[in-house]
Amino acid sequence: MKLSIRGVGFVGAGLSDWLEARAALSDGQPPGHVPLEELGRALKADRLPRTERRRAGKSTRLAMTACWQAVEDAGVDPATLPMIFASSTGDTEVLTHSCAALAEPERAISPIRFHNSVHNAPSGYWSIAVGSREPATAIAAHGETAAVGLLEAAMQAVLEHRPVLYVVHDLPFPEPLCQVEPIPEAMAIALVLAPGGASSDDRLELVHTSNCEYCDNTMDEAGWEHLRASVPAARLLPLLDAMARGESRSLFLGLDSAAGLALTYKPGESTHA
Amino acid sequence: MNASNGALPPLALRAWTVTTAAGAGRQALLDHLRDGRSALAPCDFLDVELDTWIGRVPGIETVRLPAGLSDYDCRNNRLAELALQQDGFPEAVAAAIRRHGAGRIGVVIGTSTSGILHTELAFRERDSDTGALPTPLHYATTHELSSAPRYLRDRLGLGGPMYAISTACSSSGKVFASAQRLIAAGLCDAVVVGGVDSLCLTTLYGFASLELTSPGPCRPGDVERDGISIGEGAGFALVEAVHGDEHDAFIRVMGVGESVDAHHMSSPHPEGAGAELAMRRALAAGDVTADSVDYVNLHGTASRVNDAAEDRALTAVFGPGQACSSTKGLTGHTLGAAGITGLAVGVLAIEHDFLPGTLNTRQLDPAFRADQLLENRPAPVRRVLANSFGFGGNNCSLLFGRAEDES
Repeated sequence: MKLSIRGVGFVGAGLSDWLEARAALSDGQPPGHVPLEELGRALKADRLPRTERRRAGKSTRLAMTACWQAVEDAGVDPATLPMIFASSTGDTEVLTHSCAALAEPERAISPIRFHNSVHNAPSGYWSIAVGSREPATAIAAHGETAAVGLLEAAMQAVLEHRPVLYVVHDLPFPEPLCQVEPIPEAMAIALVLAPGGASSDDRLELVHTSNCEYCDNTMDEAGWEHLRASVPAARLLPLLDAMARGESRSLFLGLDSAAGLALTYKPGESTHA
Repeated sequence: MNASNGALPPLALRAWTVTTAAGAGRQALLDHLRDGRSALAPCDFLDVELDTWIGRVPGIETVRLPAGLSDYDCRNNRLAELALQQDGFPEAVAAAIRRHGAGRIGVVIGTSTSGILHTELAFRERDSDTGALPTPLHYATTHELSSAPRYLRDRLGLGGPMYAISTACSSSGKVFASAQRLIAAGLCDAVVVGGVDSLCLTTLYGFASLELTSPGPCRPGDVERDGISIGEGAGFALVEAVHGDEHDAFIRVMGVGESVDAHHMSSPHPEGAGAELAMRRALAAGDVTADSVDYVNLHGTASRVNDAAEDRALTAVFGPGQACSSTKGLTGHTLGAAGITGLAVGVLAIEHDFLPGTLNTRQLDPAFRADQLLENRPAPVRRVLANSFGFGGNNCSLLFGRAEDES
């Protein structure tokens, strides 16, 4: 499937947007770290109305911060885009607090916490914020989340001949769940993907294959490689690294079955010398 | 009738099964539908003290997962295993593996809460000093949302793409659209789709906190309806592209309509704007007109606002008098399995020539304009639309029917 990348958004590892991330990746700088409890202040760009901002969980605000960047970078009306939201963890704070509350005799789970616990809360808040009635999906596949989310987004763009918004996002778990599911960093990566594309566009070709011998998929810098291997959303970092450096690259997003997605990235000819 | 308007191609339903509070397998649901017998009962789940009724699947607790798959053990995967054993489903998948190869078969499953009960119960056993969870918790294979599709991939030996769709109560409708795409894009020759959602504290206490649970068995569309009855259920379908030689398969999934309300996180748009859009998109995808739909299986949860909004949306699409019913009074609201449960009811209606009635409902809301059946009605059924709508304003309508003679 042949796509063009029309817009990019990034937040995580102490970097507040794609411009900062692009600079860090292309300069080979290590990632930063923002603890979960301090993440709220780093998400100023979610642009939710005040009421929704009070209600929305960090997962929603993280995903929306990346989504706004991507749609503005693409220069498209977000209300026109089908929405593919992928996450393994969902809202880790909401899930942990709910499980803790339900273990107490009162079993007090608040209405807002309950509706924020659904996996499609971020796409729900996003659709309300941008006024979109296009299809919205919410996907999970543990370590395969970034790959199958990208696959679903690519299929929607190519088969329905229209641009789509894809975001993959994960949060660290608080105690005690971080002991069984250690996610070291919050991260969201958003892409506006359109079918086809001219040589002036950033192009991405995606093939489902079991032949991955020629594909490298690691990060050179140790800190980024640690995030890639341990945050489900961060499996897309090698693609972002190629984009940041303006380098053509062949990548492989492995699935737990024998196969995976082979990605071929070619930077647009006009945007990078 | 396929793809003339750029829509995704129809799917042949090669095998399917369903397990609800009515019991394991298709026959149990058919018997309850024909007898007009509800499977709801006062809540007796664990130590839950809520004044509500539930649709609990009998026999989950004694299900044992096959050797080598014990890391998957939780209520949700036991329900998946129980459902999987019915109606010759594993044999149908094995035949598909022989036809196509395991690597050409994907698995996409809808769920809202997956195996969260496993974690909820583990939190009761936390160490009082350290707060640590008691035993090794197999998070990825129990609680994580893709636990059920991962279980099915391992259990059935499939090698194609695997993922969970979790858009609350529309989840297991939307899986059919993903199957259409995986086949149309050339990645798969067949896809195992469906939904699995099991009782847990999060949904029971969560819906109660929103004052959405009824103190009695739910009464969809009743003028005095007072909330939902939460159920659990699982259903699976093996779908493939239509080749014309499927002598064992006469049901086609013709179109899937997806939309969101862009209105509110936990209340539907009052005029049913998103629901209307989902139904119109399903009809357009199947390239059929509204007057060719014989029966609509409503989302019909018996919440006051949902049923009113759905009736408005239905009337906008079909005009007044569309034959429809809700079967939530039989199964309860199976949440992430609601879409596949609606498909199951609709296929039984097609196979056995009757429109199922709405159970527990005594007096239909006089404001409603659809023809919501309270009793079973014998009639030939060729085409059905099944609605599933969820939190986040997420909507899905499935259009399916008997294969056309010429196809």
